[in-house]
Formats: sequence, C-alpha cells, structure tokens
Amino acid sequence: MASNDAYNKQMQMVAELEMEMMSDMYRRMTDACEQKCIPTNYHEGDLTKGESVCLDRCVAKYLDVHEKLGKVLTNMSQTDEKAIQQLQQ
Amino acid sequence: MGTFREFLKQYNSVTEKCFGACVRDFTSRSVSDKEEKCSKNCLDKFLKMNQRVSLRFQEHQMIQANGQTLT
Repeated sequence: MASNDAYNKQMQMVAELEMEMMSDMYRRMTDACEQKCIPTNYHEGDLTKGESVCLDRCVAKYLDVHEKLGKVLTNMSQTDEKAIQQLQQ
Repeated sequence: MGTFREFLKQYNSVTEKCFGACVRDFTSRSVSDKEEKCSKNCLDKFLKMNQRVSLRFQEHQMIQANGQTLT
C-alpha cells in the first residue's frame, strides 16, 4: 500500500537521522571529555588513574546532561504544538 | 568506506592536536627526540582515551536498552 510505503520511508529516514545524530553526539562527547580530563603535557602514553576516573565520570555526566536537556526540549516543543493548535481553533 | 573515512579524519585530527601540543621549537628543522616522544605519547593517550570512552558509552547504551525492555 502506498501509505505504508511512505510511512516506512519516513521511519527509515528517522532511523538514519538518529544514527547520524548519535555519531555526532559521540564525537562531541569525546572532544569535551578530552578537554576536561586530559592535560596536554603528554609526559607518558598511558592514561593515569586520575584521567581514567575523570573520563568515566565525564561520559556519565555528559550523557545525563544530554538526556535531561532532551526532555526539556521535547516538553517545550510539545507545549508549543498545543499552543499552536489552540490558536488554530 | 564510511569508517575508513572516519579513521582518516581522526588521523589528521590527532596529528594536528599532537603537533600543537608537542612541537614548540622552530630553531631547528628536524624533530627533536623530546618532540617525537611527546607526539608518540600523545597518540598513545588519544587511542587509550578513545577506547575508554567507547567502552563506557557502550556500557551506558546496554544499561539503557535493558531498562527499556523491562518497562
């Protein structure tokens, strides 16, 4: 059916977009945590204990902030949509 | 092809970063031992950091996925 096709295509686009955004987020997270946790003297090639722990915490916090902000944005866009619908009535 | 492209980009990016951090002295044309050691440490650290971040990220994804199947 044509409508099924269109729906599937859209779902596929959404899935691809989500993957692309996930990659982008991962890259930004890596950059951010590197800046926060790894000093640039490079006296040695291994991660120190402090740097390792910092990275673990940084990843956890980054993903947490990402989630929290996502919820706020979703809320805001839902509120906006309701307001628009009410204006149209 | 996409992952290979990513790999090449990372290669360029790590070169720029390690050069910026390690090579400060332009009184000579050749790379000093200190600069070479620093650059290799820098790459090493970069790779290990990436490994660790990737591991933690995957752990987080798994925890999230499990949480969703339970609800």
